[in-house]
Amino acid sequence: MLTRNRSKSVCSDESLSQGSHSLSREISNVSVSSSTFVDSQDSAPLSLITEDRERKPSSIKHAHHLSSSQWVVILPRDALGDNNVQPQFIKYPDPHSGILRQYLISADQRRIYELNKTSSQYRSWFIGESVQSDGSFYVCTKMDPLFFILAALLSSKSIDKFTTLDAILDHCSHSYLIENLVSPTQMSNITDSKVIQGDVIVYRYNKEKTLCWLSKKVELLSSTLKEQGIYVGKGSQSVHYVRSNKQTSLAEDEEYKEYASGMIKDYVPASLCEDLDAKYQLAAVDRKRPIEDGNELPAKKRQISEPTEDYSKGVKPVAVKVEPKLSAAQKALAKVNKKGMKTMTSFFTKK
Amino acid sequence: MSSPSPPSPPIPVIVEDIDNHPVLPIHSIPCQILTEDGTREARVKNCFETTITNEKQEGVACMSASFRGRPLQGITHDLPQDYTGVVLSSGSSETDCKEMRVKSVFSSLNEWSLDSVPSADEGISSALKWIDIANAIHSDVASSFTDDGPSQ
Repeated sequence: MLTRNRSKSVCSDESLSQGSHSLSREISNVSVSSSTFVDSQDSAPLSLITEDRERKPSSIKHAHHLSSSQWVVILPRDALGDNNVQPQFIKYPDPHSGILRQYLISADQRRIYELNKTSSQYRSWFIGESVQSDGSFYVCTKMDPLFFILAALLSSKSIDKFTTLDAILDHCSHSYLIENLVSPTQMSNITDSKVIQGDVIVYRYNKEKTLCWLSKKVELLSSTLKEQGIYVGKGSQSVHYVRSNKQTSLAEDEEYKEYASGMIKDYVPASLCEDLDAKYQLAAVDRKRPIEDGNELPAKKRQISEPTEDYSKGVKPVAVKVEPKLSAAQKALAKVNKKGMKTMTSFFTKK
Repeated sequence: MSSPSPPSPPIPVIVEDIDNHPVLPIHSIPCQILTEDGTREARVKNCFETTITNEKQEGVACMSASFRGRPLQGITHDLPQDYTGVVLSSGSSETDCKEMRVKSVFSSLNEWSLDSVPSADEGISSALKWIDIANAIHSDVASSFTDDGPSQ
């Protein structure tokens, strides 16, 4: 969906005889249902079963497995440690869907990164003096560990009781790693807390706080999207129709908020998504495009409206039908039987 | 989330002094080059990199090259400052890899496409754009919720 000005590549792409990465082009623009992502790559030797969040640019997929022998990855420098400690890839349930996904824990075990993959069947790498068949490109991006805690809280049986963080994450593998990622201050964004027995902190899920925290995220994200000039309008959009006026109307603000909340919801368990919608009253918002108001689509209006001063109105239309006058020779010609005659132009065709 | 899954062990990434790894030029090529083991030696420098010429298109720097007689156009992506590119290798093509090693590093990469400049909205460009968006989604925002409830 991160689309703007892709005019250049659009037309020339059709001429690609190799069909070079047409797959990603085709589906790169819109939020696509996850089924689209199970593509032919599954049968490839470097099998990567992929399914993705709806709002991400669809060419970027979340990596579930790393099955190959070599990968091209970019990662934040602070994920790398010194010689003694190493960053590590772990598989952990996705906070939204619960599907196991690949994440990277920084060497200092203070940060977690989501591993994203962008790929196309028809790409390979040249690396130094070698070829790598798999053209996938992996990007590690920041991930808020609180999303994992939130998912664990909501799926826990004792949701309305005070429990330790340890107990909240009990049923997840690698939870000891996740536990280290959050501070009590961060925890206070989604829970109430108590200190018992001197230094043990226990937490209880607080829905209001959580919704408040999520809406903070929505606001931050929608302003980031706006700053980056990323088009978030409904439906797919070709660059040819991108409006040039950069005025952000109120309706556009709504669109950004809605889009941003969609992106945030991709990291939130489904049970909470409805509450987030309710908070934004998005369900109540008329889903029809609010495009008719204001100065949108001036071209269409012009067709319908009439000019203010129309001098042609008072004038009666005079029907004049002029019969072409034919000379005697032309009349004689018209009577000639033309059957079997060649046309004049046939003399000039190539023999 | 409800059913616990068999934990697969974490895969450590062995870095070993990131600044001393070889910095290799890296190109994303718009075709699939099949190799038996996933990777293979190739004379990239002599056969591909010598064909690269720098040019400007609509004021934007880009490159053109030729690969097997096909015209390629490319752009260079510089990685964000706090990012580094690594080529990781598991050393074997087993399905379950036990560890990964940094084989080489890069701070910029070239993306090529056939007969047109790679679009700014797809592939590597859009992946790099995702970094900023992910930072916004996942930054640590403090909930402005002031009422801490009866518990405190």
